[in-house]
Amino acid sequence: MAITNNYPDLFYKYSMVVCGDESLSPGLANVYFGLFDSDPLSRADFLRLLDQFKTIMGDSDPEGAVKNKILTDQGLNAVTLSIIKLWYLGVIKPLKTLSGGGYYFHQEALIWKVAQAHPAGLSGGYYGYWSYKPEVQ
Amino acid sequence: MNTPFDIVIIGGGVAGSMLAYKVKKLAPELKILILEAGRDRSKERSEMALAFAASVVKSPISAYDKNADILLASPADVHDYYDPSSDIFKSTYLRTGGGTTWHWLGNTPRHLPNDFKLFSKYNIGVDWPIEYSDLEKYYSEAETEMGVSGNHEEWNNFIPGAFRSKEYPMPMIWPSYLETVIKKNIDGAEIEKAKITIRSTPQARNSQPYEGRPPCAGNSSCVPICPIGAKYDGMVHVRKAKALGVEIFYEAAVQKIETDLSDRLSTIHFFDWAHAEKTVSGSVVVLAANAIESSILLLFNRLAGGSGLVGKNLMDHPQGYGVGIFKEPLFTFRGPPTTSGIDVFRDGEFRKDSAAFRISIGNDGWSRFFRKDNPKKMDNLEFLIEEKFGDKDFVIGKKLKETIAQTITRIFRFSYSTEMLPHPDNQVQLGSILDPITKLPRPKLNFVIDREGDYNKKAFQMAGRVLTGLFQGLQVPEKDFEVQNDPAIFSGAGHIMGTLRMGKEPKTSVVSENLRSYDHSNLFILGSGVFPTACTANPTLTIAALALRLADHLQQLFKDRAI
Repeated sequence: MAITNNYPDLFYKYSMVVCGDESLSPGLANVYFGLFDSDPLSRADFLRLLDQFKTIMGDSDPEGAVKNKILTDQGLNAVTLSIIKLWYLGVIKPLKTLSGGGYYFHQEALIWKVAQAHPAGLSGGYYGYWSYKPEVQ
Repeated sequence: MNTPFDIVIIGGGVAGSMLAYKVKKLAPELKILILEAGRDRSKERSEMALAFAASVVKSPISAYDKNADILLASPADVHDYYDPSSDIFKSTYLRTGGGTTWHWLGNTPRHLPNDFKLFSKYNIGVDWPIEYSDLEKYYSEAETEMGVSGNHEEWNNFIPGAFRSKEYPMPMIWPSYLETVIKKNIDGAEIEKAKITIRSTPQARNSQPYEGRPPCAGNSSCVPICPIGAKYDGMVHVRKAKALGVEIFYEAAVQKIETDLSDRLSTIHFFDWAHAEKTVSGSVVVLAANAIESSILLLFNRLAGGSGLVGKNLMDHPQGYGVGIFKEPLFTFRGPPTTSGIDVFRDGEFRKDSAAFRISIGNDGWSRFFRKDNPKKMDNLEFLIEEKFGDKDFVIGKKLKETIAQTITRIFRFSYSTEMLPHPDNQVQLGSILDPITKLPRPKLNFVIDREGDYNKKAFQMAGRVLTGLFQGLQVPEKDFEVQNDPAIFSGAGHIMGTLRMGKEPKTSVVSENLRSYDHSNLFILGSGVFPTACTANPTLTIAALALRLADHLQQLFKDRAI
């Protein structure tokens, strides 16, 4: 993994490691980065997390390094959980990590890709596709 | 304004619009008006569908609740539309052109022959004043009008007496992959002395192009809205009625209804949304504003009160569920929310003692409830992520993704909807707060399941045993399934019934078998409010069949000058 000093890029790469998905949307990553970066309650931990990640991103086992050097820190652990939830659910709720109202990106949630399904109302499919396994589509 | 119409219909949902269309087709000379309290939202379908797609909390009204015109035109929450002193009633409706068929699932099973004679057959509830054979041809007609996809061979005489005189207009909706696998693994099993058969559910959604509407594209959003109009809604017949010359006034909330010296309804006062009062009159008035709003109108105007039953016998289909994780992927969350069910518990001698119920197989996994081991009552998937993330080994990355994938693709759900007996204390009354649109009192609802006896409780227990048997038969380990069979935690089916009972005796019913008021000779009432009992079928097809039957009756009355 290429070393970078760019916080948005660090966030994107960290997201791919903790979510286990290497095809996350860079555009969405920029939006999500902005949410954490602009939140006064979590910004310090968030930037500390990215700084810490920069020191381990060259590790041969990035997941293992994250577990040992980031998730053992309570503050960084909490931010990481919020990052994972945001990517998988498309939701970040108020009064958890971010202050103010919640943010919702439901139709972009990673869960739809993992479930090999689609958000309700946005199938993009044809009549009868549901009778087959997804890979037959 | 006081334009005389032959027929004034209050309510532009499936009942009112289908009635208007058929009468106008049979008797083009008749002047017919529909007064609809809501707006014409038909041009806003795309916006509403996108609003739903983007909403995190999916509910039957989540496509509608962010619109500027909300003003309780569509209840934003189950608590919003009724008086706060009400009991909890968990079903909502829409006040909009086309009515609540905008957010119905589209399931169109028929009532069963014994549903019409519950008292004579099982000594419970009451009989309907009509039988299955009286309604059968109208069921067929309704299936054609709405566009129902179904399997005629599977349903024709599936129990004695349940004959079908006509094929469905479209082939059945293809089953989901999930349901095909479940059927393969459980069909033929014996549970609670019954042979289990997974049967396709007839649905008013297109399996092929039908009358200019496209086939279903499996958007999984029938409730609250079909984004492409492949599922039938009442606007289909609003449009067809208008094309024949029926007039419709939107944003026309009826309030005061006057009677003449012979107790016939004369002048109807309604307000538009700018609160300007207008009046119309009709030789015949048909009240088709749903079981709650029709009751409010009658109670407010002290109409149809001879039997003392207006607003009484409110019913729903209280629901429970079971959810399990199958041994292999079923690929949930794709296609229509349900395409199959189990109908064997909809009738039998057990109904003497315990309510009948219908089981449907759900294609939306655990999204309707919380896992029993989810103490925080957060979204189940969020809980799963927290649970794994909080594991001592910190499950993240590819392992987390694999864990989620293995769970989410194997979840499936059974739901059951139970028959509810009528009880006069379950009722709609006038509340103390005014509805801002109609200026009528909000409904105060008294609603208790099993007010006497334990008819529904026994059904929940029996359904719980059946669902447990199904999960065991499907080899789902006990740790991987859970069944909710506590009637205190019921869900609403959105099936608002009773309150305006049809029957043969004026003392025990509000309208006759021809849906004519016993108190006012030119008043007719339509909708599931007239159902004497709830049975187990989703009510919309029967509402439509009764509307088509009333159309024949009204046309004959006008022809015979008997109005």
